[in-house]
Amino acid sequence: MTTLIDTRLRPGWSRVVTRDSGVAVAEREALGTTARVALWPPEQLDAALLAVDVQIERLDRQASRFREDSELSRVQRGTPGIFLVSEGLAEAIGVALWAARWTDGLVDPTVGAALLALGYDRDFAAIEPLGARAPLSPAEVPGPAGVRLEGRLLHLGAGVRLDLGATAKGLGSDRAAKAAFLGTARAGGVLVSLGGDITVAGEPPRGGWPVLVADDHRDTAGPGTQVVRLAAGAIATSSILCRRWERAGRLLHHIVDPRTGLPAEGPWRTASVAAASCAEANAASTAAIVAGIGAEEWLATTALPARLVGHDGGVRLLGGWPEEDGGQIRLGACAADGVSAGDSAGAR
Amino acid sequence: MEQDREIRPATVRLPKPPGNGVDAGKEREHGLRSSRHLSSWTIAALVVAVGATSAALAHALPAATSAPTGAHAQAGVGGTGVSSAVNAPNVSTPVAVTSASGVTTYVTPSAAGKATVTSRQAVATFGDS
Repeated sequence: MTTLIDTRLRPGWSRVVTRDSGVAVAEREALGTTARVALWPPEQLDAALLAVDVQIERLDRQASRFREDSELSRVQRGTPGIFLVSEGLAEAIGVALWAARWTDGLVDPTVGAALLALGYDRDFAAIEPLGARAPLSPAEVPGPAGVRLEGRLLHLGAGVRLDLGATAKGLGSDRAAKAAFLGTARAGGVLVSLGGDITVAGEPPRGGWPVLVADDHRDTAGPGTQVVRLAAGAIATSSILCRRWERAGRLLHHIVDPRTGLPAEGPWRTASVAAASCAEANAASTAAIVAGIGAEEWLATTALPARLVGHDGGVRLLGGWPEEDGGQIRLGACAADGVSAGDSAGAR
Repeated sequence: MEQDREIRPATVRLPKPPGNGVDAGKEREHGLRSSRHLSSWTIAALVVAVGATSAALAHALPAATSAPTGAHAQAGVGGTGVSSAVNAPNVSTPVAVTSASGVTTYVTPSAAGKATVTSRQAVATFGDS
């Protein structure tokens, strides 16, 4: 273990020991996963952690599907209709609706009911013992047409159950990185990772922030791993190798194909994508898994650097993803239609 | 009647200005010209002040406030995307891992120089559904 309890850090955070004295790294458990912050100069760490804490708590209160008192849960407990939601939730839903349009429906925030039907209706840790023999009856995905957002007014159609999993964590990483950077003296740079959805802000270290891209989290020393350097923007990975459970004798995973309401099937088990924002990277990596054999074609339209790993372990690099270990991710001049944390709550 | 006269407000003609009245006209014109002059200078000063303030604010505001999470913000939040800072550190080992979303990972620098990762499956609030 590389973490040290440091009483000088904010509660919950542990300092991560690195070989590089020019940066400070800390992590904590958050959102059911790990939040990690790396920054330079190291003296600014506490200010950055405070800013990240605020953003994590805000996102959890706004958009968590598993938290009973979250704003999203409260909205979905009511009957369909019109709701006045907070700016933050409006933004999160707006980004999800944008992602649905951008990916031509490969990711869809209305897969909530389908996930419930598949058995992903509680914290993941509680699924497995309960549902292995339960019947499998996929639910229809109503599609984003059942959701309308006008500013902070959310219109939810009948039968629509939202799940913002394809974009919310990326959006949270974007928000946290921005807040952390502004929370410091805006000198140097910061990297924020929420469960592997990574955004950087400010000036990177020389050559960029080194990030390990791991296909299978259980096999980190094999050919499936690669170190890349991220100087700007964000990177996210989606994989069907984690969070699996069994229903009706069938092994299921959490990435739902909105066209079928069932777990996505295709030649790729892991997709990593770099983009200017982590919300985009997150949406694109999920879309690539869902697209299946169409993943390469769809990713080509985005011009985003991407790394696909097939079920046989074969790796396919797209959009200028570096071939060499330690290579720098370079984003194109206009990789995709932008999604803004600020403009998303409008006409989506 | 007496009473009426007493309560009626008296109308008093103002005394004529000294001179023949032409001077009064000149005075009035001069006053107006002065006011116009003053207005012109005030407006000019205001324009200069607003311009200077805008320029100062444009430099002072952080880049991040205008850098959305959009794809066109290629430099990322508030940064250039290039390590132009002379004091930017060299970072040799990975500081983070991107893997299956929601999996908790720990990076350990190994003696061989490459990072190793241990991980555990967690209850993630936001999966990639």
